[in-house]
Amino acid sequence: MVLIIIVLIVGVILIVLYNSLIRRKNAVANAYGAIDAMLKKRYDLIPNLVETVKQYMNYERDTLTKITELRTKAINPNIPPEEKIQLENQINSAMRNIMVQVENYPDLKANQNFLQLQASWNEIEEQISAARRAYNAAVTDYNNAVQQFPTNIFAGMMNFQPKTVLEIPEEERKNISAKDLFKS
Amino acid sequence: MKSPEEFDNYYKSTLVPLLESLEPDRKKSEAAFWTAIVSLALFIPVILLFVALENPWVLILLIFPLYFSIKKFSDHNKIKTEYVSKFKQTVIAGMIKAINDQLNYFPQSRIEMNEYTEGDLFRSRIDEYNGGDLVEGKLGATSLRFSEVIHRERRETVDSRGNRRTYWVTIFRGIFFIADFNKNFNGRTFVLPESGFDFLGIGKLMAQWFEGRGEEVKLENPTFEKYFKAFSSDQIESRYILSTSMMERLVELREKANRNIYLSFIDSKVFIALPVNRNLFEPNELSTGVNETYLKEYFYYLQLITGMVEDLNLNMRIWSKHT
Repeated sequence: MVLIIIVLIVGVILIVLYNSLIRRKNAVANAYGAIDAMLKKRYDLIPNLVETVKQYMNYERDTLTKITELRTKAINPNIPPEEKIQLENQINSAMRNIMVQVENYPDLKANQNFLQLQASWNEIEEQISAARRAYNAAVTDYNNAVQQFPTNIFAGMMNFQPKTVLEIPEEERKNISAKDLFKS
Repeated sequence: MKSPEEFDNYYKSTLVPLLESLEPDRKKSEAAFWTAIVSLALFIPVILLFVALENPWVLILLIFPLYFSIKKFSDHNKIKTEYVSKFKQTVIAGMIKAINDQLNYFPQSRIEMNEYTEGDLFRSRIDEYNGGDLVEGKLGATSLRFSEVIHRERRETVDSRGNRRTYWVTIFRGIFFIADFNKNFNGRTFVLPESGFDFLGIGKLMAQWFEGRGEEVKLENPTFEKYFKAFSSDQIESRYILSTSMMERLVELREKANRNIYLSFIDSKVFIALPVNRNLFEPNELSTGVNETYLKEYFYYLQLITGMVEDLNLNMRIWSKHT
């Protein structure tokens, strides 16, 4: 009788541990999907922004054309992940450049449409940052389970490997306060 | 008016004459207090008479000192209320306007119970809820309101002999603050003091179950994690709210306040509870009103709370939520 109870308890513990591993693995996939969703929102915003800005920023025409081209490439579902990341970074720095240049165009700064787009842009940037941080937290949680005892036993059996956290690009890491970016 | 030095100047130039003009009222209130206390002494002769004559009918005479005492205490109450009201309308209201003239002071009002429960910070049953000294207004783009609040719960114990004993527990006492947050969000995020219970990672798991406030959000700032634990209905939205910059600001605020603080982010508003174990903004009738120390303390709290708008950078409105 006692033996049965012990076996049951051990069984429950094993199930709990196994499930927690699965849960963490799924959390990572979920978080990755969320980043993608946020990035898509950003890609959707770019054409509108470029159009509004183009009318005012005569000197930035080249950068704007380049951004449009990069965006078209980036939304192609068939590109390999490394190239996608590279395109991402390029779009990032080009857009930052534009946003800083906005300071030189007072008419643009007064344009209501632009201001709304700029606010949406800031929001999406922060949300992407939040999504990346959530992904990294999910990965760390998962890695802990894969490497710590006792769940590492299951991880070994199911051949779960630790994942890598996302590198936050150097510019973002500097934690630019918007005050510096949008001095007015 | 922000710094202690500015307050010193304000005290000397504006408050001292004001307090001196209120001294007569205070003294009246103090006199009424002592009169009421002394009136209790009138019970003594009647009691002595009863003891001497051993006649219970003598106790009927107690009606006289009783009536007299009650009247004196009631008189004192009236006079004190007038004094306190005058003090608040002049001294406290003046201090608040000097801090920022966009703020308005309503000594008789408070954060209402429904607003308090909307913040969902203290989930114990509310058997007593009270407060006062409401301040509200708009600092820059941020609307805010705060007041003193006390929330108590009545509990019962039954001992081994079946005796019931009722006692009161103070769940929260201090300043409750509500402001517009500068970002839009849909879910509920909580930043609560870290209780420090963690054993093999089980502590955190149990905290999650018992809190019932959503999932725990593990954040990157180690000092933040030392002071707080965060819970949220949405892992990403919580990080959108608790940006790297916001986490640093919360740590600084916690260190500046030098006590546990409780925050929640609900319905695009931020709710902050700052525990203070005493009544603020009240004058003491029993000692001179012309004293900088207690007023400086009130100033410290007012500054701390109104300063939270700047400390948390709530006026940075670069996202899609504007005014």
